Amino acid sequence: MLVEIRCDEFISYGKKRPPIELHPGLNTVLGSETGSNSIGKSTFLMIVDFAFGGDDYVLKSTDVQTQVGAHIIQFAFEFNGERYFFSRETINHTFVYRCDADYNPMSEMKIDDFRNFLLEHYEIDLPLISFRGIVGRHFRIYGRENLDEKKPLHNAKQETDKAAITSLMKLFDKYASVDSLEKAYKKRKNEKDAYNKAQVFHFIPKINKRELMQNERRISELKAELAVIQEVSGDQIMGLDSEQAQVIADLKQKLTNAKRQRSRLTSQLRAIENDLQFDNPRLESNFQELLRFFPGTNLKRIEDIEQFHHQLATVLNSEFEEAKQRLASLISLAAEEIADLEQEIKSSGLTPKISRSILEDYSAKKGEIRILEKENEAYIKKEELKEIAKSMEDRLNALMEEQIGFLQSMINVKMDRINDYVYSGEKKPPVLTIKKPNSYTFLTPDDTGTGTSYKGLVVFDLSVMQLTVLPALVHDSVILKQIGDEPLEKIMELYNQSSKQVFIALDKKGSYPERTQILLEQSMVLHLTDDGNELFGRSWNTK
Amino acid sequence: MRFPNKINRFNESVISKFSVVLSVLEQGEMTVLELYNTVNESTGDVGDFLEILDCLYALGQIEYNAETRLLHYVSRN
Repeated sequence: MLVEIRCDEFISYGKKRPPIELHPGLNTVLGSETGSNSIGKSTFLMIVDFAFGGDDYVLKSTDVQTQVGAHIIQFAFEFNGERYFFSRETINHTFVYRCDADYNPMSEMKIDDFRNFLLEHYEIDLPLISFRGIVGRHFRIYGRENLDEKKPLHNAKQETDKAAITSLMKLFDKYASVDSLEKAYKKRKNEKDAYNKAQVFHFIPKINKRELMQNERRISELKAELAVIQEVSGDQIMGLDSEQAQVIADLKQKLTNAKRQRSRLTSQLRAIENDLQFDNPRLESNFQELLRFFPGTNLKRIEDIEQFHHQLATVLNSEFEEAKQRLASLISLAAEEIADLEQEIKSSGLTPKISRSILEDYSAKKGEIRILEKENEAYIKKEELKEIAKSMEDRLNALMEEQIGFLQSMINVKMDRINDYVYSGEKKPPVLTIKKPNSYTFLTPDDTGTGTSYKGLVVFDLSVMQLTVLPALVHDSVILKQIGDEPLEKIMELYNQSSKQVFIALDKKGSYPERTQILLEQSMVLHLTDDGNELFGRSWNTK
Repeated sequence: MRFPNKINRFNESVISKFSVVLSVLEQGEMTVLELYNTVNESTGDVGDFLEILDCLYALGQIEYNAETRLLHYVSRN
């Protein structure tokens, strides 16, 4: 337990305060009779939280950090009769120093190691929950976010109901079995989600049920057509998959093209060879005949014409000879290609007897079947993943509900008992209702009064403390001052009877009934007033 | 050499191809092979082609320059 807090900046009437000694059961920070504000009650509770490994003193009590500046909080815990001394700097709050009995730092530890030290020394052996996860929710101090009397499970306003419920389950050790199932479920769900995403981005085909049926019908049609092709082409085509069939079909197409090219070249060559055989005798009578159509023209002499003819024929002859050679070499290239292709087709094991169009048809049908089957497989796989995830989710929810049921009834029974003590059995207790794993309500039936609501919050914390390993409670005056005198007196008794530490702040001792006054007096660890006896010896709210 | 007569229709005759060759040569000079490749679809084989050129030369419509190896159209201006 926390046994001592000191700080060089704690001042009373100009002098350094002696160490503040803390004890089991109730520890009260008492304010003034006039109920003065800003004298350091909540601040001191924040420092208690700081000693328990919290960060809000540095992060939320910013006015203190500004006004007082960097300072060191020294504190001691006692476990099994042994004291452990620590100091923690506000300016470097992620570390805690282990100290000797005079608070001389000996070694440095990370804040998480310090929290684990507390977990270990409070002998808390709960899986899945941290020390702050246990105490943080039940240290209710002005400035923190867990003061909502209707949402006592919440640690922060923006926290979801689910997270708050989960945390409570962990504290009651009702979560371990759920956790392993939840992890398995999340893995399955991730798998399912990843599959869905892959479908969204078209890495995997996506179809719906109607398309599945259509695909199945189309597949059986195609298979029937393939059977006909096989029938027609004999068994040669069987066993070819669509790619092989396509390769053969492509080869055949190339072969056809090569053959076509060869015959085109050959006919060109033949034409040229024919052309080269020209040399008709040029008869003068032929040219005289021209004059019948072009009378009065001076015809050239036949010798000139023959010379002209000879010149042109010589030129053409040599040109055609070149063309002939070119064609001949192209034809031999084409012939080589044809031979290669034929060899390739032959080595595929398929005789070239099956026509290209049959092969192409066969390939197309095989290919279509494969695509459709892939789509169908993807649909079936998706449905399978969906079903597995759904069934795990159902199991998880059933288990959660069962565990939540235990938890809820344990807490409600305990709250009923404590409430009966507080009201001598005359008033209805607050009720925690966890409707679903992600939704809860907390209220006192037929009574929505402010005091009742805050009393409900206190009863809840007391119940949790009695039922679990929660080592300490902090209730600030902002909660307690709402509660009526009579119930508060009983609550004080309960705090006082606790073997665990309870830290509270309250004002106006004199305004409470005598029994309460005695309890406050007995449990007082710090008394603050607004006349130089503030926590830091001064107030910074006056002009 | 085919002239229009009872047997050969005009558009089968050598005369019908004159305009094909002349209209090409009017555009500019050409080698024999260029001209052949341009008109051979209309003029038929090399034998027919040479007949047409022989006739056009006989009629003084075209000339051949042995140095440049170009055929050209004989302008009437």
